[in-house]
Amino acid sequence: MKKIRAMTDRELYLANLKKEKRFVSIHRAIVLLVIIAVWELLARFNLIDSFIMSQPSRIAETFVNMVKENLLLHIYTTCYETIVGFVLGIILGIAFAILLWWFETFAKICDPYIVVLNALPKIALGPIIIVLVGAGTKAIIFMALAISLIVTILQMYNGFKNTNKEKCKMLQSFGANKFQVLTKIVIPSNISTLFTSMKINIGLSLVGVIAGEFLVSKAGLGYLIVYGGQVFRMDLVMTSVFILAVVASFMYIAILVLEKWVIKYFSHN
Amino acid sequence: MKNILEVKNISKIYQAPNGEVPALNNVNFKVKQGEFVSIVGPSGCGKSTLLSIISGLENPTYGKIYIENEEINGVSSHIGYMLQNHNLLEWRDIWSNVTLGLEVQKKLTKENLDYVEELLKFYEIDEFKHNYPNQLSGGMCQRAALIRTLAVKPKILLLDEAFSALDYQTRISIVDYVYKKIKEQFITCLMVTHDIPESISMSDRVIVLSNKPGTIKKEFDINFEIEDDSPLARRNHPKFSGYFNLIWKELGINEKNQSDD
Ligand SMILES: Nc1ncnc2c1ncn2[C@@H]1O[C@H](COP(=O)(O)OP(=O)(O)OP(=O)(O)O)[C@@H](O)[C@H]1O
Ligand SMILES: [Mg+2]
Repeated sequence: MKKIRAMTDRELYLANLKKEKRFVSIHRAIVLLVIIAVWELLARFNLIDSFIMSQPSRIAETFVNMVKENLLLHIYTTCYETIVGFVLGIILGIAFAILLWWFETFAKICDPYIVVLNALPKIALGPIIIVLVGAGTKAIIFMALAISLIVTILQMYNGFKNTNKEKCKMLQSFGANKFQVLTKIVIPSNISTLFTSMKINIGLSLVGVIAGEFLVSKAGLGYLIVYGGQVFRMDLVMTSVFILAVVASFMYIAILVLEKWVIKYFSHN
Repeated sequence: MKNILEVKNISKIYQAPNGEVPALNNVNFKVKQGEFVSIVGPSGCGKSTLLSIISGLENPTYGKIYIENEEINGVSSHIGYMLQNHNLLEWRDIWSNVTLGLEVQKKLTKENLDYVEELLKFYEIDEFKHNYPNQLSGGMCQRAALIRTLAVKPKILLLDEAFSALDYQTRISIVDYVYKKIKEQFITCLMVTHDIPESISMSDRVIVLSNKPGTIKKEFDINFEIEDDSPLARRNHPKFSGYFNLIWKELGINEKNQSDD
């Protein structure tokens, strides 16, 4: 009691904040445990069909077996394809957005095509991509690129276009050329646009890769899911989906960490 | 003294989607070397537009601008233009903000950087040069923007409401500083302001613009004949309120005509 009374308002506020944070974390864990426990019990007492719905203990077992085989290869394959597709999407997307910003007339000409391509469900392009580049890793990476590229272009171009006009004017008043305006104002102003775009992009690339692996592949998490489905090994499917969820989260978190790091470098506060 | 700047028959008509917007109508004036000229006028009468045209960033619809008797065509390196907002880049510290103009013009020489140091000291923000704009007060940011403009050693300084974002006290003392520095270096200055006392306290001449589209209504020569001339000394001079009333009257008629804005 005495100790609490000695606390300043700020200390009390911080202590409460910490308490609330811990409360949330603990309850998040509890929710997960309850779901797993209920699932397991329902399966044990045959209230759900564990052949179709699988069950936690089976998933764990399958996971151990998969690690013994070549799970790492599948994870590596999916990650590799996603990262290549993602990086290409970002680089090409920014490059194209710069072209659109630089040449306004070009942007006007491209506008309807970009709108149509953006609206088109890119998965429909799958067969065309396979015919064009062959049924292999290349096709999967192209699939990821097809899905993420247009969104990146649109987002970055929009950001570039909405760069503070007064700042550009200020730089031009010193006689700056277009390239200097681009590198000293437009790009640094859009670092947060870039990260917003990256966060959406990593998810889209993964969608593209899984879709691509469904169509053509000999390895990867998408391959495992399709294969498991075909041979009715639902625990394999479920386990792969779980691993996919973990992989996707890690990729997203990696971008968050990078963002924090870069924003810190750029704003120093 | 020779004319350094000549504004000749300048008109500006903006093309907007819902029609033409006339912003300036046949503006003519000359500025002598070392002269300090203020432009006052109601909001939206085209003051910023006029400075943008003189700086070469914007083209006039009609008319021409001459600097040292040469017609300008695009941005001139003789002109330093300080826009209405300080426009400091928040991802750069103060030092790399104030040296931005030199960086753009590829003039980061030892001599120029020493001059920037000197300016930072003079405007009393040198101890903040490694801080970022969001760590500085509005007044400090305004001074940093002024240093950025002065660093490239312009012959003509264009100031757009350069001091209006400041609180009254900072404003009075900064104006005093800037005025002395500008006079010392014999910089020609064209300043846009809403503030009549400020225009009187700094200028050799005040130009009054009419409502939109801006056209020159009247010019007032300001002549205090004080020995130790400074904005503060002028504010305490008996002639000050006389000038104020003259300009106020000229502007006041405008304000009555304006419905409400
Ligand atoms: N790009 C533009 N397109 C169309 N109209 C414009 C454009 N820029 C300015 N105007 C119009 O021109 C007029 C003059 O604008 P300007 O910014 O020069 O006024 P100002 O005198 O500086 O006003 P303030 O005192 O509020 O800063 C305004 O009525 C404005 O609406
Ligand atoms: Mg203005």
